[in-house]
Parts: sequence; C-alpha cells; structure tokens
Amino acid sequence: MDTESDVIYWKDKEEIILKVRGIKKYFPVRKGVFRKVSGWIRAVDGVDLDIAKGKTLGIVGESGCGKSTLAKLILMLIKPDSGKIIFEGRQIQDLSEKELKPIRRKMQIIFQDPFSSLNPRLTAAQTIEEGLEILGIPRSERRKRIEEILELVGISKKDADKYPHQFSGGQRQRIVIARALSVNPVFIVCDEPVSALDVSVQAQIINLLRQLQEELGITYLFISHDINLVGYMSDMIAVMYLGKILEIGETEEVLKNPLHPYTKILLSSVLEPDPRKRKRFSVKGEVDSGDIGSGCKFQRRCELFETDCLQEIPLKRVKENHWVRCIKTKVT
Amino acid sequence: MRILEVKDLRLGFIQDGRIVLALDDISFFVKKAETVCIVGESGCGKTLTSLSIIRLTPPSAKILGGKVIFEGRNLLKIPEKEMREIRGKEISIIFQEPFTSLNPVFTIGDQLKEAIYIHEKISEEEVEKRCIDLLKLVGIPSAELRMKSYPHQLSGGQRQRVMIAMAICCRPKLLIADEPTTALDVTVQAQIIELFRRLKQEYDLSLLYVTHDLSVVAHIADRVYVMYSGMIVEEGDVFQIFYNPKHPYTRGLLESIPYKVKRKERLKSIPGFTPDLLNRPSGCPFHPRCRSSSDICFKEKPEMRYVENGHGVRCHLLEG
Amino acid sequence: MSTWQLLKKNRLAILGLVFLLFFFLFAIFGLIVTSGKNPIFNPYTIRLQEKLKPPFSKANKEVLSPDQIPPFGIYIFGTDDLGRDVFSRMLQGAWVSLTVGFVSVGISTAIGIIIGGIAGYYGKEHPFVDILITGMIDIMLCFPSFFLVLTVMAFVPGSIYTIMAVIGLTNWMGTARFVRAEFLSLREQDFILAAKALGLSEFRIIFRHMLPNAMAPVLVSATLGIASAILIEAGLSFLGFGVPPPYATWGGILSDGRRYLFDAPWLTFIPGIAILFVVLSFNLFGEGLRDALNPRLRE
Repeated sequence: MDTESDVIYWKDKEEIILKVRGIKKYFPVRKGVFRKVSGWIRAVDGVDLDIAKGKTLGIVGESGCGKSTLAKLILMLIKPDSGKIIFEGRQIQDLSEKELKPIRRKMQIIFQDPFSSLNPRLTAAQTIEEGLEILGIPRSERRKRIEEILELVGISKKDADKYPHQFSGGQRQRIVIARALSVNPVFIVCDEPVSALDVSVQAQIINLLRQLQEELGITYLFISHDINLVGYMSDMIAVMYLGKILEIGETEEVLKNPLHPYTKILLSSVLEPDPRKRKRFSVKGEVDSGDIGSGCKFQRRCELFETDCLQEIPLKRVKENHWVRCIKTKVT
Repeated sequence: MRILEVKDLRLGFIQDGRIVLALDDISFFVKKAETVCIVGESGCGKTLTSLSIIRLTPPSAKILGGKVIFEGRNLLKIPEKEMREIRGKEISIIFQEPFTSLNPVFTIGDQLKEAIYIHEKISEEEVEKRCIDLLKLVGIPSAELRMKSYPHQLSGGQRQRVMIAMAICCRPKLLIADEPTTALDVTVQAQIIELFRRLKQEYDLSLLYVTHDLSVVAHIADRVYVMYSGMIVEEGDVFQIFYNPKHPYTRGLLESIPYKVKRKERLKSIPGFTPDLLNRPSGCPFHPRCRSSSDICFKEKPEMRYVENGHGVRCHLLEG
Repeated sequence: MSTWQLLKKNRLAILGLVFLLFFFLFAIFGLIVTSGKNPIFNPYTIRLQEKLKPPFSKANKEVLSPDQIPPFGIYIFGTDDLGRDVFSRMLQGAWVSLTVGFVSVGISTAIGIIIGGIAGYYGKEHPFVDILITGMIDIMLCFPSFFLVLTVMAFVPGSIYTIMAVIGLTNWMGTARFVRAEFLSLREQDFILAAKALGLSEFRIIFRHMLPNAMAPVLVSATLGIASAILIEAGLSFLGFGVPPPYATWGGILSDGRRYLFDAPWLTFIPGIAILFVVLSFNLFGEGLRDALNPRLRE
C-alpha cells in the first residue's frame, strides 16, 4: 500500500485485529530436466488488508485469483516472500515456529473439503481433544469441554466417538468448525466453507458461523466464489483477480455500485434464482492465468484498456467506503 | 410433441444379496425444443436417472420396471447394438468434469472427428470442416489451430465447450447435460449457459439439464422436476415452481438461498442432511426433515397430485 | 464396510490366512519340541542304518538305541542321507524361516519408513533431498535383489543374524517408495494444514497424523515381503550360503536332498512344497489385504 496508515478501510472507531501490508507470494515454474526456473506465478502480488475485530471481511474471486493462497499466507501456513502481517499489533511474518506457536491458536482455518479436512483415523472427540491439549487443559476436564463444543456446533454427544466417515458432509464441516473453536480463536479464515455441501445444508453452516460470531465475537475472513453468499456474510467485501485486490469497500455499496470493469462483469454473471430476471450474457474471454506483466491485471480482457493501464495502479478511494484500482474511475 | 417420455422408472441396487430400491417410479417427459431441468441435491438420484435413459448405469444397478420411450421405442428393451447407435447420435450426454471426460493423449481434433466417424461415413475433408465449424459454433477462438491442441492446453471452460461440440456434432434430438457448469467459474458458467440458449434457439435442441443449482434452473428451464431421494416430489413449469412451490422440500430449498436476505436475518435452512440413496427413509423420504410431517408421511408413499395445470406435487399434506 | 468385512469376502485371502495361522502354530510347536537337551523331536540324531527311509516308514527298533527311536515309532516324513528325521528337521526349520522372514522385514520396513518419510516430508521444499533419496532408491533397485544378497553373503560370515541383516538392508526400497508417495499426497491434505494451524509440532504431525494414514501400503508390502524373505533364505541355503549346519532350514533340507532326487524324492519335495504353500499363503493374504484396504482409501 502507498501509506501505512492505521485505519484504511474501516470506520475510525473499529479496532483492527489483522493488518496485511504488501503481501507477496510467487511460485516458481520449473521446466526441463534440471528443473530450471523459467518464470513465476504471482499468486499473491501485493495485497493490503485490514480486518476489524468481530467483523467479517469477504473475499470474492474466481479460480486462480489467489484467495486460497492469501488465506494460507495470513495464517503463516506458507511463508510470504515479502510484506508484513500484523496480528493483534504484532508483526508475525518473520517469527520462528516456536515463537508462532502461542499465536497460532488464536487464528484458525476452516477448509472447503469436509472429506480431507479431518484425519480419518481420529474420532470427532480426539480431533477436538488435540486443541484442548494445546491449551493445556488437564485430562480430567477435557471430556466435558469436548461435549460443550460439540453442542455448540450442533453435534450430539452420542456421536463424539464416531469416525469421520460415519458422518455426513455437513456434520463433518461442523466437526471442522469444532476443531477450530477448540483453541478459543479470535480470528477464523473460512476458505469456501460451504461450497462442497448441499444447498439445504449450506444454510445451516452459515447460520452456525453467524451465531458463533455473535456469541463469541469471532472475526472472519470469508472467502468464496459465491457472490450472494459473500454478500450476505460480509461487512466489507474485496474483489481479487490474479493476486491483487481490484476493488474493496462496504458490501452493500460495492454490490450496488460496482466500479471496476472486472467487478461489473463478475456481478453481471451472477444468476438470480428468479425466472423473471433472466439475462443475456455477452461476457467474453476466459479467466486469465499466468504472468500478465506490468500494470493492471485485467488489461487483457478489459474493454477500456489504454496504454496508461500498463503502469502500476494504486488503490484509490472514490467514496468514503469504496476503493478501486482503476484509472478509469472518477473520485466523487 | 414429446421427444422423450420416462414412465414409472424403477431402479435398484444389489446389496448383500437383496435389492435396494433407489429410483422410485420416476416419470417425466421432454418436448421438442424444450429445456427441462431435473433439480436436486446429492444422493437424490438425478445422475442415475440421466444415465438410465441411455443405459449407462453401473453394473450393480438393475432396472426393475418402467419405460423410457424415445421416438416410439422403449429404450430399455432394445438390443445393445441399437442403443449404441442412438448414443452420441440421437441422444448425447455431457458430464460435469471436463477434465476427465476428454482423453489426454489425443488431440481435440482427433476426438471430435472420432465422435463424427462413429455415426457418419463422410470424407476426411468434410469431417475436418465440420469440426472447425463446430468449434466456432461453441465459441472456441482460433478453431483451426485448436484442432491440434491437447486437452491439457485448454482451460476448463474451453474443454467443456469441446465436450458440447462433441455432443452436438451429429445433431442429436436430445442433449442430456449433467451439472455441466458446476466445476466452472461464474463468468465462464454464464458463457456456457448463453451457448446452450443459443443452441436451443438456432437448432431446436431439446435439453435435459440436471443440476442442484436453482439459479441456473431459473435461468434456462421451461419446466422443472424436483427430485429428492429417488423420487420426484414436485413438477411444473419454471414459474409455478419458483412462484408457487408446494412441496415443503422445494420451499425449503428456495428459502435457503442467500438471495435478497438482509444481513441481520437468519437464513432459513432445512434441518438434517440428505439421505443416502441406498438408505432411503420409508414412506415419503422427506419426512425426517419435514417440519410438517405426520404419521402417514412415515408410513405411506404419497401419490402425485396436480394442483394446477401441469403442476404436480407428491405430498400427503395437500390431500383432502 | 470395514477392512475386515471386505477381507472376509475374499475366500482365497482367508484361506491364506488360515494356512498362515497353521504355519505359525507349526513353527511354535516346532520350537518347543526341538529345543532343549532331550527334545521330543530330535532333528540332530544321526541314524546311518536308517538312512533314506520313505515317509511313514516304521522305525526298525532292533537296530536303534532307545533314544534314537522317533516319536510314535514312525518317520513321518522319512529320513535323509544321514538318517535324520526329516519331520523333526522341518519343525526346526519352520521356526528359522519365520524368524528370518519377520526380522528382515522388520528391518527393511523400519529403514523404508524413515527414508521414504524424509523424502516425502521434506522433498517439496528441499528438492535436493528428494532427488538424492529417489536416486539412491533407483540405484539400489538396479541390482537384482537376490544377487545383491548373494554378493554380500560371499564377503560376510554366514549366520542367521547376518542373513537377516543383509536381507533387511537390501529390501527397503519398495516400502520407501510407498511411504514417500503417501507422504507427498498427505502433505497437501487439509487436515495436515489444519494441524499445523493448531500449532502442533512437526514431530507430532508426522507421527500422529501422517504415518498412521500411510501405513496401508506398508502393511501389504511387509506381508508380501515376508514371503519374499523366506524365499531368499531358501535360495541362499540351496546355494550353500544360507544358515550353516547343523541348524535345519527348509532351503537347506531341499539343498541336501538334491543328490538323492531320484532315490529319495521326498527329501526335496517335502520342503519344496512346504515353501510353496507358505509363500503362496502370504501372497494370497497380502493381496487380499491390499484389495480390502483400497476401496476404503478411495472413499
């Protein structure tokens, strides 16, 4: 980001629990017998974010935009190539595993695939118990706490000693949430938490997440390709494309008045569940991948493209609650 | 004019020596140039149904009864040889995963040509031209060059377009599409749906579209069949289903979409989870999750009753 | 369906398992009755006057001293060229074969897990480690295993311990590959990332989360490996590089019987068929195990 000002996106009185500045992660592309590096995939290419305590920041984007990589970077599951991650006021991107350990339990993650998210050899109770062990809860008190947490996520304690394959997809996701809660986190990254679930079950899990936020004050980073869902869950929404945030702002504002050409295309592609609202689509081109080169990430597909788009474009504040990375938008 | 009519289709699986019923009296039809959607979640049997039409069900599945009438013939009774002539030529199917549906070691051109050669004997130049025209039709840029590409060199959306090209190459009367856009990005999905719309308009293509996504259904369907646990619970035209849903499951499904829901409101959900097709609940299979179920729901399977023209529901609560 | 249920359905595998249990009991029985100062079945007693007697032939009590008479007065499997009771020798050899099988597989499995685990866990971030280990595996695999063992045995004093060590040290490659492959795919699974997010130590992640999930192919490989080890030992004994006399091993008995193939065929057939059945049973059970474990893994 251009400035390191304290409160970028949220209203002044909000407490910022997580700040991300200039985060980058490039993956090498290796070719040939000797695996020489022939190019770089810029998975995350300079992202700045703030998340206010107890709120939800939603990230929306299509495949290859880098949202999953971003999630893993924030949680330090992979190391960033450059940039800063400031959690609860402390910089964590350079800490060693040992130093990170006490911090890790405060930031947890819920993944998309309920099948591979749980160790098939541990029962639900054992999965949750690991977290309690980390907190240092003595053995005698653990069972009680396990049952409390299971109840919180809607799993009956009769099922505590069952194995993952004995549960349905929705129930497995609840156990994943239970595991995340077992260490009393303050921040949870939800990476497509309901995409692999049936529609009728998605609503259950979403309601659960909302309830937990209200009761426990948990902060969420909610990542999804489902725009309706992100719109419902988030206080603020960010649109990602090829590793960069192209637009960010208060959810209602961005969804009502999209400013970036990509956001406009994205929102116009959303199908509404109403037969009277059928649309004709004239979207062209495929989702980009690979190295775009310098300048705007959307240059290859943008109808408004001109040579000025080839320089680095900063995120501009166009309204009190709305930022865009495009030279074509006017500040109001 | 009905291109396809499925009547009382019953299908079961052999498990531990017994037969477990999976598809229970499935009946539906598709008219010429019509788009019919079968909508349901996982384990409802919609994919099984679409496979039954062209007899590509797994070997452990047994057809227990019913008819699949296509152009006057019952497809369940004709010899395999005749069935093979129908597949790909009269009735085509495309699947969800464009990644695994194409053979990675052959070029796009080879696979497309093969699809044509199986059913038609035409010259090499004609086939080549047909293929290029097809690729252009489905919106693949630089079609001549793409003929020599391999599947891994194309994106997911492009692969799906190639699948569609292969499916329509012999001008089938009916195209069955099983969740063709689920694995694709939102913007790509929009393009594929637009393609289907165009094909329907320009070629009078009848489309049987199987999906779990109600938004897609709202967008392309003329008529809809809602399936739950091996049974059709509601049927009607798209407006009837979206504006006057009668079955508790259909209603629950529509209400659980986060569309135009205020942030402070809760989403409405359906309690419980979708049952396994091999472990269907008794009576009305939705009864364990239904807020209004009563004794009869657990004992008896409800009959299909028509509440208005073409709008049918299978629910005990609507009787009497 | 659990692994056990699936396994039960495979008749051949169960047959193999049953036979293996029988073999175990035979070996343990053999250990008990052939050891000590005055074993019930004595594999060492030489009775030159009773040599090359066919199976089930009666002992000629007149020419034997009381302690030379075999139990029940019968040579159940006949006698060899030194008049030793073949049945007693088979009993002793069973235990040796079993020991060689299990210990050498234990060694090779342990080595395989460690090497494969390191390659699989650190290989992605440190490609050099992976290349080094994979290269080592490939080089070792170039040598036909039996000749490798034979070559080493030529330089090393032959004893049951060296044989077990050598077989163990030359057969870890299959296990290493399996473990490496499983670890590589497990690393990307979400539950491993979740464990890391919880703050679990690497040690714990490897031993509690990854290893138990990687054991399936190792188990199958170990089962088949035991059969292979027994065969290798039999082959070594046959060529004279095996466990030295007076210990009886099935391969040794077979080898000694070569010269009398036409006069006393039972000396080669009995150990040969016994080896055949044991190896076959291990193979059937091992393959049944592999098939039973597979569909569940695919779930």
